[in-house]
Amino acid sequence: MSSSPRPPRIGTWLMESVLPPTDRGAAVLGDLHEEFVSRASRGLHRARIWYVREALGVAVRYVGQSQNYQRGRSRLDVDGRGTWEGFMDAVVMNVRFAVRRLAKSPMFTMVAITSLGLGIGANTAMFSLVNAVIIRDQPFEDPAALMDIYEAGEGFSHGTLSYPDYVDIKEGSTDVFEDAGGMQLVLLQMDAENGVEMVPAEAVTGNYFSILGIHAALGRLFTAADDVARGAHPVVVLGHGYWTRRFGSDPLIVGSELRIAGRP
Amino acid sequence: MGREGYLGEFEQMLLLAVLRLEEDAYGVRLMDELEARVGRRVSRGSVYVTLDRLEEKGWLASEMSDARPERGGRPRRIVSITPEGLDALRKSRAALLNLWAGLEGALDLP
Repeated sequence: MSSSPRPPRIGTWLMESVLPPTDRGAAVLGDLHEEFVSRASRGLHRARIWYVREALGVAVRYVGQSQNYQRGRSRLDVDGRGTWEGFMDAVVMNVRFAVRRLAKSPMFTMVAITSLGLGIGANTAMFSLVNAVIIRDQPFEDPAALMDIYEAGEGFSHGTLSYPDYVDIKEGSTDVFEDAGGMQLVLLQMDAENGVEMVPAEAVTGNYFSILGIHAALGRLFTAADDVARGAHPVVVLGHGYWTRRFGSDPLIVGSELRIAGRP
Repeated sequence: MGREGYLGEFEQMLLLAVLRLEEDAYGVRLMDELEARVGRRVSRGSVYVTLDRLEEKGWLASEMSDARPERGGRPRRIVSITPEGLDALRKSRAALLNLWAGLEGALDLP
């Protein structure tokens, strides 16, 4: 007694993935199974190849049809126009035509592609900047409540403030601002394994992080208690990027000593 | 009358094959019949998609047979022509015969 040959699973799986889970879908699978059994009696290997090829053909046709359904159109018009298949045929035809035309004019193609590349690249870079600075929400607790304070004078509108001015503003504007903090961009010379590494940083007041509403992932941030004499109490907060890049996200870095410009 | 009233070439071929096969009109036999009479193998996917469309238009009806072991335990979808389908065939035949009439000489036909 011999059992009936089984069609390749990949073919069956392929069709089951795209056919509707109805009797109609089962009937399509049944048709292929019936023909497969008939062909297998004349050669199993060739029958299996035939089955997979037919399954692929049916799957491709039904994928196009289901796309058509999703767009709420009729399945196919009498002559195939106005359908998903017709649309895809037109797209493929136009793409092939465009490629042929471009291949005939390599210099024009090169200039066009280079121009497009430069244009797209510049626009992408500009959008990334605008997105980061303007569009995307800043990682602060209440961004709308934060204000930048600059000193304006003749010929400049965004001048930096001196520390005494900062103290005056902080103490004299308590009826306007909840708190005022200060920051200055600095370039630090961090001691590294192979010499010195220049790292952009900010020198900030002790209340800086509490004003921004930022919390530490590890360890602690600065507090007002850290505002002591210059150089007397050197502590740093590492940014996530620098912590990951330089220290491999080592959590044991908290509390350890870093050397900046040769000093702990 | 819109173009919906007329049959496409493949639709017409399929309906005629259904008409010939009578009670035995299902996927496998339809493809065999088309190959034997038209002289070329047709796309299986096109057959099923066109059957679906003809049934949607009301020109075909279908019913499922019992599940069969030689089909992996699956049924056959037996299709038959509806009165509307027959009417569409008549209209298409009449239109084509009118167009062919008197052209035998131009095509060197007896």
